[in-house]
Amino acid sequence: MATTPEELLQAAETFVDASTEVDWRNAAICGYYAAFHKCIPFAYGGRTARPGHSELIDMLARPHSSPAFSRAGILLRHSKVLRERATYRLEVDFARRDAHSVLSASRQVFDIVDGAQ
Amino acid sequence: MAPQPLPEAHRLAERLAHIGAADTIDEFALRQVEADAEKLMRSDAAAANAVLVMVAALRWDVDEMKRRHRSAIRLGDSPYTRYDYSNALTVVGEIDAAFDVARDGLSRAPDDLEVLYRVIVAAVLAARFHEARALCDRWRKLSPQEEMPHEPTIASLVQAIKRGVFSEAGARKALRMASAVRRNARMRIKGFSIEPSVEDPGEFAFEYALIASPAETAELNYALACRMADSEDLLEDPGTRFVPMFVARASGGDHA
Repeated sequence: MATTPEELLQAAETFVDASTEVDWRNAAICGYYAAFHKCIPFAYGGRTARPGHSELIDMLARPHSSPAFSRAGILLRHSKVLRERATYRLEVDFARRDAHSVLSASRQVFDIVDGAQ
Repeated sequence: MAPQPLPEAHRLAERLAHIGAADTIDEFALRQVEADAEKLMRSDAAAANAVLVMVAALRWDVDEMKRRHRSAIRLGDSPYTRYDYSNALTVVGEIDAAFDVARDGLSRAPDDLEVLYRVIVAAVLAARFHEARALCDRWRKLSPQEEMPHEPTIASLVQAIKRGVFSEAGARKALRMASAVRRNARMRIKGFSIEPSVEDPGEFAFEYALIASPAETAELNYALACRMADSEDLLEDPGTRFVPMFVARASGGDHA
């Protein structure tokens, strides 16, 4: 892999410390994609897969899946809500605390995935 | 004609709203309101008790809230007593009771737009979207010129339910779970919003804006994810098609 999910998360953490709303939007987008890519091998057993966002979340948070899977899926869904706002809703204020919320959820997803492996 | 001064109870309610919206409860200011409500007890005991209901809610003292509400009703039962109590129940996360009480208030003042607004909001917070929709129809009849602000969102939610994206019962379970998580943490709510997904039409996020830091809301979101993950029927319905979540809205300058 040319870029790892961990590198995306690191980049997000750099963006969140910057001082403009564009940086915070980038932090949220990068933080979400870090968690998204972290979850793909977790959800699909290490195989190379190209799921869509909802497809991956559904794969994780489906009935009868393990609690770790479901938690990761629900947290990823939370992040997706804020990532969508960062991406599409330029007319709505996006605060640093919103970017921090995405990063917190992404770190939790990383902990779940790393803890399960 | 010179404007009439606001009734004392109204002024005290406004002071309480200000105290409740701050990042931390100013106990000194709260005690001042409490003392002023005690003074008001001599002239308007029902209204004074209604004020003390909200004082108790801001202290998260549910027993005292209920006691004061019973006194307020005994001393002079107005629809606004129930309106205030419904607000207080929302503060402490009792969403079903908040709706029941608001609806009871509306039955006593069926043409009062302010009371109707409160019932619609309480219905949305309790995921009673079909009832909220019917109440919006009533709003339109009572006030054809004034749009009910939540009506388009309520219509979209009812549409998603009709299309079978998730059920109202499933959404209700999810909101009850989120309210239980918030109650346990005793986090105050600043507002709420319902965000339809841009990428996945029919999906909604129900956002509780909390007077809290991102670290605190992250803990709550994790607790909520754990509870939802342990509940097979919630993963079945609404699944992640209707997801409650907490966002941080403490005041403070973190905007660019």
